[in-house]
Formats: sequence, C-alpha cells, structure tokens
Amino acid sequence: MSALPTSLLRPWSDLPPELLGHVIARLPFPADRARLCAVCRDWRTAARHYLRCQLPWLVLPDLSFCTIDDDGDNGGSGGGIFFPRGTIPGVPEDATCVGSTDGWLVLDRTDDAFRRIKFVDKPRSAAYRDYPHREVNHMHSYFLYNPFSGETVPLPELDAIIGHVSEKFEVRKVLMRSSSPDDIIAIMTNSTHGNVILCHPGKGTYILHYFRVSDIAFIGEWLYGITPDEDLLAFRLDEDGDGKPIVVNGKRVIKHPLPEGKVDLWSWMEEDDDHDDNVDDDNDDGGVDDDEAPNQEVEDIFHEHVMISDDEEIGPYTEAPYQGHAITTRNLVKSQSGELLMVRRMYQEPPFTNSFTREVEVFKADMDVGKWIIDRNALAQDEVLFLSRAFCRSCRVSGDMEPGFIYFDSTNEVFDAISWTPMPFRMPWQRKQFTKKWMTWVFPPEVVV
Amino acid sequence: MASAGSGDEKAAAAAMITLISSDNEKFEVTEATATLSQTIRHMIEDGCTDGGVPLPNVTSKILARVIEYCKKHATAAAGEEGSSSSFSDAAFLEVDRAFLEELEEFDDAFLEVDRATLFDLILAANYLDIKGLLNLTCQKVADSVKGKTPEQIREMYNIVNDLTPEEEAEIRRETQWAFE
Repeated sequence: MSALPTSLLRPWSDLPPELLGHVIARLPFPADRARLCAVCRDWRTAARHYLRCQLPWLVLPDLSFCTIDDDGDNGGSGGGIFFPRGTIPGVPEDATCVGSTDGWLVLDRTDDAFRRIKFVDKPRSAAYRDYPHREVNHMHSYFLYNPFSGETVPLPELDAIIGHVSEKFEVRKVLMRSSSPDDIIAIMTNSTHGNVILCHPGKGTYILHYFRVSDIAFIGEWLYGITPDEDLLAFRLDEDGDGKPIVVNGKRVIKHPLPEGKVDLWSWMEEDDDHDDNVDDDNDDGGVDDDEAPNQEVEDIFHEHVMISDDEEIGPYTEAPYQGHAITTRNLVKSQSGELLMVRRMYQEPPFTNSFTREVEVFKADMDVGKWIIDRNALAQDEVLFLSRAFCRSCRVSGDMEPGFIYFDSTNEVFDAISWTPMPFRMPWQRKQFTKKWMTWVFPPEVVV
Repeated sequence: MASAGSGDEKAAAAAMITLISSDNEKFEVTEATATLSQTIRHMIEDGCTDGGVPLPNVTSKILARVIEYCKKHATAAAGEEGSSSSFSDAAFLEVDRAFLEELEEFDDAFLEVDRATLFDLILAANYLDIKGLLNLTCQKVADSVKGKTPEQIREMYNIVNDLTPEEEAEIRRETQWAFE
C-alpha cells in the first residue's frame, strides 16, 4: 500500500488551523497575513483566529528583526519568545536603523559601519576598528522608511546638520509627532550642541542647543525633555509661515534642588518666563539659541565638542550577592489617558550572569505643582508600555500583549505593573550582538479582519 | 530541551528503537535520533517501546525522510551540547559556525520536495512533535507565500477558492491596503 496517491489528493486547505498558525507566525508582515485570509474559507477561518494584533517587532541596528513566536509552548511567559525573522526588505545595503516611531523606521545611510556590524563579524570586517573615534568623521544621510507601506521620506535638512559627524556622535531617539511624515520630527542626539533637532521634512529645521535632555516625548503642541536630574523641560512648538518648526515657549516644568555648589544650567528659563514667553524669536537669535547664528555653526558643532553622557546613571553596586553595576534609566512616555509618565528603572548587571530588574517606579508629571508624583496605578487596566532608549510607547492591550506589562529591551524580563514584580521573558539573544540599547520597537499596522 | 545532557546520549548510543510506519515498514534508529521526537521520547520514558513504536499517522515514505532529518540533527545536538541552555551567549555561534552552515545546507536540500511531501512532513513533524522540523517546514511554506496574491497561493497549493464573491469583496474591503 503506497501513501503517495492519498497524499497527492490531500488538499492544503485541510492544513489543521494550529499548523496554519505556525505558518502565520512566520509571516510578520500584516499584508501577507491578510492575503492568506483571502485564499479559501478554511484558511480564512483559521487565519482570523491568529490575526491578533502582534507584539511590536524588535529591530536591530543592522535591520534584522525579531517577532514573537506565538507558539505558546516555546517557554518563557507572555505567550512566546522573540524569534529572528531575517532582515527588513527594501532597504539599502549601507543603511543602519537609528530609531523608530510606531511603524516608521529612521535609517541612516553611512560608510560608518561600526553600528551595523555584529560583534561576531567585527574582527573579520575591513571596516572594523575596536571602538568609535572622536576625531574620525563619516558622511551620513538620513531618511524615514515605512516597511509596511514602502514609503520613503528623505531628510536632507537633517543631513545638512548632522550629515558629517564624528564616530562618537549618536542619534539617540527620533520621534515623529504624528503618523504622517509631513509634521515635526524631533531628533535627540548625544551632542550638547544640538541636543534636540526639530525637523519638518521639506520645510526646515530648528536646533535646541546646549540642553542635556536624555529622553523626549510629544504631547500635542508640546515637546517634553527630561534631564539626568529629572528636571522636566517643556517646549511649545509651532511652525513659521514656511512650515519651518519653531519653539515659541520654553519652560522648566519640574525643577529639583541642586546640590551645594552645582550651577543651575537652566535658571535662565525661569528668567525668560518672567518677561517674555518667547525663548526664540525668528527675527533675533536670542532665547534658547546661543548668540551665534546656529546655521553658521552647525557645520562643525559635532566634531570636537562635548558629547553628553548616556541616558543612564551607572553606579557600582557592591552589596552581595549582587555585585556589578546598577543602572538607572528614565523614560518618558505618554499614557493612554494623555498624561506624561516617567518610568524610572534600576537594573543590575552582574559580571557573569544575566541582568535583572531591581526596581521600577512610575511617576506622573504634575505640571501645576511642578513635581513628579509616584503612582503605581498610573497605567490603565488594559494598558501596556514598551520601553527602549530609541522608542517608548503606551498601547491598549491586544493580541499577545499582557495587560499591565511593561516591556523592556535590556533584560530577559517583563515587568508586571499589576503585581509589581518582574517576570521572566525571553528576549532574542541576537540583541547581544550589538552594542546595547541600539534596538528599537516597531509597531506593525493592525490587521482588521 | 537539549539539556537532557550528553551522559544520557552516550549511554543511549547503543540502544536502538524500532519505528513502524503506517504501511508496516520497520525502521531501526538510535535512541538519540528517535528522541528528537518529543512524542517518541515520552514513549521511551514510559517504557512502552518494546516491540517497536507504531506510528499509524506516518507513511514509510515520509518516515524515511523524517528519520533522515533526525539523524542529521541528532548529530548536531550532540555536537553543540549545552548550547541551547546558554542560548543567551552569542559566542557559541562563532565556534559552531561552520557546523551550523553545513546544517543549513542540509536543511535547504532537505526541503527540496514537492508540495504534497511538504504537507505530509508538516503533519508528521507536528504528530511526532519535532520542533526543528516543524519550524523548518512551516518556514518553507511561509517563505513561499510571501508577497504572493491569494490567486497565486491557490495555484501553488492547489486550493479551490470556495469563498463566495460577497465574502471576497468583504475581505478586499477590509484589507484593501494589503492588495495594492
């Protein structure tokens, strides 16, 4: 008895739903999933069940990406583990991912391959040098890319400012104010001289010089920035007649007392508030900017000057058995109710074992009182947070997400903000192939079927 | 997972298991090969493999292919012992790079099969609970439908379109962006 004839007759529409689910898990692009639904009735029924909203993708600097494997039985909690799915298609060879907002990626075409190269490949690569050098500059060309729609938006205005910079220069975060690229984009860098660059593609740029914010968030007309001292700065944005972004008002919303002898770098913000709301007026170059015209200086501002330290506060932690570094990060994120939250998180990096979370605190910004208010109930019941240095977002829970969870990119954990405990969660080990923190969340559009 | 340890594997190296296909063909395999299947592993653990393991859902043609896969990957599992428990450590990749490349080539060649065989391999991998083979075969299907229209997918997999014109119109309306 030969099985061949029967197997030839076996229609693929008979593929058991859970097995079709395995196939769907390997089709990260929502368009592919949607088309699978339109093949036949059995597949449609089966596929609909699996077309839950995906967990966001993790995109690495070399544009390889990982998505959750919804096999469920794959170990770990949270319904699966992240699994590598290859490389984002349709991007140039020399592109590096430097940030993201929702479904958009921010790419940098550059001959500075340092970020793009995996640790394991570095010693083999001709472009490899052991660490970035301050005195070596490279050309960069930035653009927005939407891997789901295929849209590309070049950012020549940004290239004019940070298109030729030191290897030490970093774009830390790129936030789009709305889902349309025809709006203001905020680029946060590690240079004090151009800490935040506002860019309206095709229209123009505005540089917030000499700040030291380590995270930013948009809420409506306002751009908020947090300093390492947890001071909160607020900038009200507008556009001039040509659509060029401008800052019409800047103030320090939350201020902390300084230790003895430390100079208050932002005291002028209060002074400005007293007589004039405008921190910058297009007609004179006062206010936020230094007295020199910014555009004459930008050519070389990133080459030699001070870079701001990382967004992290790193302190030695020697209490046994937790030896190693205790790292504190602060992220700003707009909650579902529209409030500005700060998530302060301390995690431990022991020398030879995995990092783990020691403490998570969530604060609401009380702008009227000028204080951070600690609030364990800041998240709604059905709210989840995704945090990374490059992109933070709050979501309504759906699909594979667990309500009340705070997802991080730095440890094999997820934080349950309901029971207030860290839970094990398997992040892809691929993230360890790159300098940490150069990984970002990308949110695929939802399939509605 | 592979954390069962090399000790077990070495001890079991001589132990042979007989697998019996749906068409009554017998296959002698080592325990290390057979236990890539979680289903068979559990049977061995329960001590019910004397006289052979009947696999009524798998034909001899498919079982032969599955065994071919398991033999190759059992060697791999023995070679990279412990690597899955230290999966967080990227360094192992460097060490085993050449071997992994060879394995990848084997997998690619292994998947050069007709659609009907692929279908049966998926069912067998699922029934025998062989994670790697299930991943491999489902990935093959996923790769083949990437970027394809529903019509192309139907043609490729011999699927009859049983959706009514109304249903099709509804699907297109809901997900028009996916068809542009």
